[in-house]
Amino acid sequence: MTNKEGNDKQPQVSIDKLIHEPARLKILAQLYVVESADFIFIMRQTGLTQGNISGHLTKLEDSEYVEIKKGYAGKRPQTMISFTKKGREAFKKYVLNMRHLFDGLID
Amino acid sequence: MEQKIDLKQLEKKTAQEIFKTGIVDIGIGLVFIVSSLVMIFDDISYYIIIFFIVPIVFISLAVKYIANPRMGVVKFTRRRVRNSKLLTIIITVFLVITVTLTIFVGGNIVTDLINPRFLISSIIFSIFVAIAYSLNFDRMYIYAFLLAGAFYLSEKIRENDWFISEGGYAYLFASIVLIVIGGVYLIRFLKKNPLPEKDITYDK
Repeated sequence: MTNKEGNDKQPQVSIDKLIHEPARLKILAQLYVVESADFIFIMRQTGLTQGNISGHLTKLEDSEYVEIKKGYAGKRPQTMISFTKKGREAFKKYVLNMRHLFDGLID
Repeated sequence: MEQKIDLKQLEKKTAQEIFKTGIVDIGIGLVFIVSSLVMIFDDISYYIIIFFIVPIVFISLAVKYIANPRMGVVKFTRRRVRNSKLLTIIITVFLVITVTLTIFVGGNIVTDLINPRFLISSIIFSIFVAIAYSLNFDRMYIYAFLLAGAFYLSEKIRENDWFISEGGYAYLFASIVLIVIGGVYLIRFLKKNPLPEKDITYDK
């Protein structure tokens, strides 16, 4: 394959590295199929630890990919997490890019 | 990453989480215990609405105090919520018809006109299949067959007047099966998901 410069290099594919990290991908995939979920639900579904999820959520929140709302359910603290519009679009784009990347891959 | 991420399957699996608790099975089992008691003791038919409150209260409290603290809380997509609302309306309409018919059957008002038990059982069977299909609750298909079997048995008992005279016992048996299955799932859920010792929340 020849690129714009005429080199035989593979084409550039835009992969969002923030989403591509396996643990974050698990969290985001889980969030993508729901409107919102609380911290415990994400923890149970992904099998990740509290510290691990907190770390990843901080990065995702800083990038405005997820929105985190802290509150209470009765006396227990509850953290609800949801995709932002930007985050949902980025995840959709990531999925499409990954599909295109491996299009035509021979078994 | 070790496993493939299938978003459709993931959504389905997420929606099925609540059914892993067994709470819904027990709640439906309680509804059918009430129904069977009404069939067996005709004189309580007029209190059926009060008795139906018990399963509803059980499901609400169990979800709030057993499932949510262990499993977490999830809000589904608008599409799924809209489908659930539509299903709830359909089920409510069917339940009102069923309760009304049951009350009339208790008063022997429609007994001579139609086969009311067949009609009620058909409605209940339809409700179960609708729930199973709409909510991806696969176990519910088995319950639909179980209750269809209970219907068949109850009709046989009523026609042949076997060692027990009242067909409602067949529904009572079916509802006990539901509660036992639900109980097994609930125990498994409690073992697998113990109550967190400390409050689990997001720490930045």
